[in-house]
Amino acid sequence: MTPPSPRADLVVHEVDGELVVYDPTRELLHHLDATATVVWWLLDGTTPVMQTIDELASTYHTTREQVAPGVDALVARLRAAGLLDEESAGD
Amino acid sequence: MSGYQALSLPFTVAADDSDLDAYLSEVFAALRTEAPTGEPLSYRVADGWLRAGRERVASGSPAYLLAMLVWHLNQQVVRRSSPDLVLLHAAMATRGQVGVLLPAPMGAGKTTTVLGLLRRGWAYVTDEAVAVDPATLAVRPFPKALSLERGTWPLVPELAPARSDWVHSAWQLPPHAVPALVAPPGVRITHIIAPAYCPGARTRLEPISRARMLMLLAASSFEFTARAQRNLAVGARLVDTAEGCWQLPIGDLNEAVSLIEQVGA
Repeated sequence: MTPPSPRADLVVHEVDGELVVYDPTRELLHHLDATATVVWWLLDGTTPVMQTIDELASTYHTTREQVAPGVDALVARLRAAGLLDEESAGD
Repeated sequence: MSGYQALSLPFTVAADDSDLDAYLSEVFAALRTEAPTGEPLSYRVADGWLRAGRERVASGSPAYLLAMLVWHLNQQVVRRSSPDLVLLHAAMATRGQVGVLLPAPMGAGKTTTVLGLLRRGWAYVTDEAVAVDPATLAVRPFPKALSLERGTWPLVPELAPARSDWVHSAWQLPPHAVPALVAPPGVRITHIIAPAYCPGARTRLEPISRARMLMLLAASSFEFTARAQRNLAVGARLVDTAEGCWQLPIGDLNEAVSLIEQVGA
């Protein structure tokens, strides 16, 4: 499986660093806070989640052990909400 | 029979009973027009029937028929107007260059809050559906009669309608009865405040993020899913251009109105 990426058909608006995502298939709205929004933009379908975690840890001067649980939980949440491309929902 | 225009809907209203006919003219006075656009939808109350175009409903209660008329009209206004305008389930009032949007679900205190503003000299836009031009973000007023639910009546007993037998569950209060002026077309939304009536709560303004307000505006959009992309884009521009976004838990109406006036000063 390729790294995860958001579905292409979602309607996404970024406002003050937070995201509002509309899923037209399920007719549902989702709100992502500033932290989740940073991760969202890193889910580009080419960067493995492990690498994303390392990049975040480096950017925010922390350890991957501190970053990983949050990122993993977010990816799981996005996957459960059906917001990730099914073809690339793994890593 | 008088001609009226509510956003994209031209309509006429008449009643066989001359007193009721005069009352209806009073209720819809702020929507009267000399130049309706297109073929009007015809409402007539006569012989225990409400006829709304080709639909009709019977009741021995004139109050019920009037309530049905108001409900049907609001439904039709939304249906006819939403292709061209983004309609938000919200109240709105203006003063000078300040336009306060009050988005909220039914029962949250939109009408009561906007009534409080009108009684302090603000101009009326609507208590039900704020119509935003998607190209310019200008607001087109929909100055329907304010629908005051029973819980608000004790706050303004002097505004009680003369004929209680024509009241079903809400007073229909035309803006001139407040009295209040109607805002001109083209007013802008400068502040977005989501009221929520909470009996016993401390009345306070709480800033919320623009993204959270966008979520709320989307949830408040009439027929959102039919035009989700357009409505979300307009909502995003509204929260982006507003001076701020707040939640307003309301325990006391006067305090709520004062807080709105402070942020809008």
